[in-house]
Amino acid sequence: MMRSLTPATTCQGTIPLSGIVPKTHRSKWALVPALACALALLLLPQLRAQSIPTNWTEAARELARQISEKAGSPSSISLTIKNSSSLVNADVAEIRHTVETQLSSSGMRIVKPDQSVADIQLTLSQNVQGWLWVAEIHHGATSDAALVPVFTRQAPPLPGVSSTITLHKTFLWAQPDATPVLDVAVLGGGSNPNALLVLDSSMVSLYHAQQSHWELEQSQPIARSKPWPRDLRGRLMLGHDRKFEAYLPGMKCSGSADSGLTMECHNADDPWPLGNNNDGPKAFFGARNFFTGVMTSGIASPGPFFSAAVAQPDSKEWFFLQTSNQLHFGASASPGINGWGSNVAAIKSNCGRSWQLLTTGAGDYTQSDSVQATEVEASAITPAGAPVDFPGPVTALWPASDGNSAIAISKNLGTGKYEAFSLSITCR
Amino acid sequence: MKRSVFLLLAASLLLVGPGHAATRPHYGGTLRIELRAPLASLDPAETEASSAAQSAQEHIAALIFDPLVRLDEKGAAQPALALTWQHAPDFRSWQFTLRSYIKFHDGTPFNAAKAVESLLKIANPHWRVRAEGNDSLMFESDSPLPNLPAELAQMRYAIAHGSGNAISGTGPFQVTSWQPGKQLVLKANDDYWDARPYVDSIEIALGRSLHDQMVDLELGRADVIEVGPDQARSAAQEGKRVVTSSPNEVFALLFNPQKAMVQDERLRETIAGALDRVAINNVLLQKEGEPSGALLPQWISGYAFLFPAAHNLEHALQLRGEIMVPATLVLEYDFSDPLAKAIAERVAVNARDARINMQALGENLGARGGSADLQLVRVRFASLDAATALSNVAATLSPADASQGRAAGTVAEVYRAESAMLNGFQIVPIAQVPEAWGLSGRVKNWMQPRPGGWSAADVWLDVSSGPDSRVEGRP
Repeated sequence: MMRSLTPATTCQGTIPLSGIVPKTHRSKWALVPALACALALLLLPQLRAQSIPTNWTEAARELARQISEKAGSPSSISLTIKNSSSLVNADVAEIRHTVETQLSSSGMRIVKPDQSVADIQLTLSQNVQGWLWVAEIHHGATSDAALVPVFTRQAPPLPGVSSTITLHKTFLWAQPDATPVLDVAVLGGGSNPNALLVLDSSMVSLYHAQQSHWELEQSQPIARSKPWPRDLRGRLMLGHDRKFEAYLPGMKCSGSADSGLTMECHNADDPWPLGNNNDGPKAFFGARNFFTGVMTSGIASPGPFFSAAVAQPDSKEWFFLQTSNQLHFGASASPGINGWGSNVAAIKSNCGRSWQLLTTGAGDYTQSDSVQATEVEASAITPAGAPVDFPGPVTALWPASDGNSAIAISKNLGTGKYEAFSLSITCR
Repeated sequence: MKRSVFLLLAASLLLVGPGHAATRPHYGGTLRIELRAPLASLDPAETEASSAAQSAQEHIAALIFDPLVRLDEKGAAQPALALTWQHAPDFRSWQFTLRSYIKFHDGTPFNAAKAVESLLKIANPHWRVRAEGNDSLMFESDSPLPNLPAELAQMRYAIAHGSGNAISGTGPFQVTSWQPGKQLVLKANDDYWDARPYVDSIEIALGRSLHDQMVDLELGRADVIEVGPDQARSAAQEGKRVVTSSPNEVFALLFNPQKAMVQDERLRETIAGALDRVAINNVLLQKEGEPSGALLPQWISGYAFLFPAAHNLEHALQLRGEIMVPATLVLEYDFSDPLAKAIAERVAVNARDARINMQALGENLGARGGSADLQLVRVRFASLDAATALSNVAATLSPADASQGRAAGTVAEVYRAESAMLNGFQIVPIAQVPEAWGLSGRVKNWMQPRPGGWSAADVWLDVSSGPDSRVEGRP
């Protein structure tokens, strides 16, 4: 059972039928907890190793209330706690303390079993929806059970790694529902991001930094006349003055995040930029999930491919990860390379050869994933530093507009929701 | 020079690579599936008798039809043919707003009237449904329906148009050829509202024995086959690719309320106490199941451990000494289910340990069952919503009593309803078992099966994992 910070978003609303109000599928207030986490982690990377405290008190209070009611308000109880869930020992200790406090507040003194009026066996359990606390209550000759569902907190991030070149993963955004995120772009950039654009399958949304969280400022829908292809892909490109373009299969949107969010979309087969800006080579995208292989800027056509990157600026020799599972480089093609997936992006750092390629691995969308930095040098391409892991497949990997980082979108297999990360490289 | 670059890269990544990761899906190809059940109808509203047929029906229906809502992996309702829904504060009225511009595979527009027509195929005593305009459905009930979205997410409530061989859905695949009981051929719905599937077509061979399915998988003639849960472990140990679900069926003893010989609760408790569920799980289920005294599995309910499952022969023998015991009890099981046969025979052995003679007898339970003193039943949950799953189990075990097992939404209420069902030992759960599938190497994105049917629209075929002249339309 995975932990989740954000409560499940459903299409269910409670309304009086006399005044039916359409359900807001994405309430901006529902986003706040995830945004708080996202922005805190973006602005304060040093906090990444800390988990977010969960308030167990409400569940403990409800548990105490039920125990008191079912056991006839006993003055003294014995309490044993058994952990049958994936909670770690620190959580169990915290829960024990919180439950004992609430039981005491409810007038139940905790004593040894031979001195108690009622005996409570609390099992910390879990089911498909989350944690479940089950208290078996033995009071005289009678037994009863109290069951309290508990909402949970996000899993702590993975521990970092260190090496000469270190690839960093910084959490940017968690989609509040299962809608696939295609790309995100940070406005303001550097250490002072002030806004975030999120491209998903149905809209572009603008969030602005509000103290410790992202707050939804405005969304613009993407109207379409026919269904998107499965494994939908899309890309955001930032221009000057907070202008942006969104590329989708058969569609292009142009907009501005300068004063609110404005955007216009139209059917178009314009080529998509492959690099971090609009000046570099572009490639035409087909109606499914890959580039057709038709290029601009005089780059040799390698046939259909999923992604491409160049290891040095101004080079004509691009890496293409082709749909035939071949790696195409310059005029050569190699059979599929073990360990490589379908996404590649190049970013600039001040380490090694200055530019590194980031690649995802091979597998499918039921598996966790990782991104590996590699360096291209003369006759060798070697991994640089340790890979960073993701709790699900990386579905998009695009160079960010600053050229110094990349945006990785991953579907978290634990939560079923899409998350965006910024990837950058440092060195000792 | 460049070739050496690639080789060096490959070698170095092999050394440091994580060993697991993701490749973007490919379009094209034909997915070949084999199933045991000789399914005679594609209509999701038809009631199938055996567990194998129910499984086949649920999975096939998910390919052709859409429900109004779906449950995600946490059991939360998500939009399908219905985009939004809302309810009155007392949960007695619900309004569902439907997607627009959807068509059935035969070209008929989907609308509220068609949805009502489809939903009314299943008589449900708990609610009434009517269309409001073209795109709105109203459900009403005399009692609260807090779980209505989860109930409607079951594939038996999937929306179908027409009947018999002319039945049509709105789902990701449409029928191109249908030979009842033998073969079904489907092609991708290019206009599917939730995006066209990756594979171009699916061929499903029906009525294939588990042995024949395994042979076909080994010979490269099938991509997806059924594997008995008791065979899953050995198949995996032999190097086959096996995917196992969380437990989604329960084996239970059901005592016949019409039989005088089993009216004494102490007799039923004696048999329950004599059951060695752990041995059944370890030996017969090869540890792939969960021995349990509960109907719902722990992963769905979270409270299954509250129902005792311990082997207590001493207590059983003590009770045995207090009661009159009939000469021989007859235990029926589904004759077409080899796993049920093995478990029934083991139950009879356990009963004899408590000095109760029991004879296990294979029967066609769908056609003639019900005359024995007790039955071994195998029931699918068909939902990962606890209240809906329990309601399904109750409907199978006590079809005459529609109120049994119906619970409101909270886990405490579901627990109370399950306790009431098991009180008196009329029903004695034995173990919950998973569903297992064998996959060929070229099958990618195969999600762990769960109630609601296959997610076959997300499956793609890796043409590089082996020669396959049948795969065309590469991306």
